[in-house]
Amino acid sequence: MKNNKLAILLKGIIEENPVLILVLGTCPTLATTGNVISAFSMGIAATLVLICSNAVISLLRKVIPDTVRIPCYIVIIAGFVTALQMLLQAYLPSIYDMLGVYLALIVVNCIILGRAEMFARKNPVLDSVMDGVGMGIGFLVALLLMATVREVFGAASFAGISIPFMEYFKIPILTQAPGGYLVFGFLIALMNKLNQKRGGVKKKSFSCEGCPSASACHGGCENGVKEGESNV
Amino acid sequence: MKNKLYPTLALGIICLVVVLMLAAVNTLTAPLIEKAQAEKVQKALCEVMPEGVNFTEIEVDGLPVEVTDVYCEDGGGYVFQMSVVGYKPGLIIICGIDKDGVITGAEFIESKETLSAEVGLGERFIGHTSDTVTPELVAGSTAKKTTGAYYSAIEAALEAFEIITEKEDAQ
Repeated sequence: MKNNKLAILLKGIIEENPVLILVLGTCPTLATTGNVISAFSMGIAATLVLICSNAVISLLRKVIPDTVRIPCYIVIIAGFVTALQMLLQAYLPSIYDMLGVYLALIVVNCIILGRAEMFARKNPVLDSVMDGVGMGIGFLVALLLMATVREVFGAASFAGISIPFMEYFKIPILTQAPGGYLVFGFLIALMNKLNQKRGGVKKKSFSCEGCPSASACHGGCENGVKEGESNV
Repeated sequence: MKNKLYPTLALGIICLVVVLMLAAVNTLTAPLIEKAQAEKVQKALCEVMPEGVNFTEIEVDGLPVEVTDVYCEDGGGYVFQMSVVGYKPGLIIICGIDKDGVITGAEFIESKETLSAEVGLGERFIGHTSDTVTPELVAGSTAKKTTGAYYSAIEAALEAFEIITEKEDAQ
């Protein structure tokens, strides 16, 4: 029982890391990893929303009708994001200004809606909370890793603190959009390499059932059914 | 009928609960947000007019529509707050103009856009007057609509300054 909870928690950090394995939440990942502070703030904000939405969606899983489940999830997630926005604007205005439009965009973050659809609607509250914590930590770790590389090697600083030694070796493009894509690509490659050593990622464990097109595709993409053909 | 009614009812109840939760959070945070906003404006006033003392908000008729607030400084300068539309509405810019019509500073107060190099646009206008402010000042690798909106806000501030000084001269 205890091991099961721990496995759910750890799954999101390494085995099913939302950013580096599932490649979800790419937009905020690229946008907020220019510096460590904004990456950390985004990671914490998304984690809080993920835990709360997972808990509520799991709690209401028997009440929410299947036909309107996506609108219900969006309303719940948007509610938490708006509340978080108001709290940040009141208590941490500098963080609110730093995250800008990406704070509101948490509503449409694929990780949050994906976990609601894939996990929270089928599992009890505690498991869903553990999943939220694990996925949130996985998202946070990936953001911090990427932001550290981009800020240290691109801007010769860490969390705004200058690193004089790095001034002579910095690569400014890393702080810009192309640098973000480069670092993202290298980190995904590194994660794939590490996973290969551990026996590879079990694609089945997270592929079909969490896919938004699952109801139309019925696993066609995995069975080699071409576009336009039916797998039903 | 039941198949249609239940989903509608469930979604409606969820919406209602979320609205109530947001209303509660808003009640808690609204005064704090208002206070933080006022502090931000005061800080911005001092930044766009560093030598200014004692800013007082005044009401002036007939100013350009972009100008939302006007602050008069004891030394004869003015600070104008403008609301313009960049990629989306809600781009709030503040601009200080001293008694000789020279821009002392300009900066963003609020934006719903993700700003990067655009944050430094205000510095390009420092020391300029209505005669020397040209679109070339903002040329460069900044977001086009945001930059255009910034320029129009500065133009509105200069126009408002001229209207106010003309009124003062007429008196």
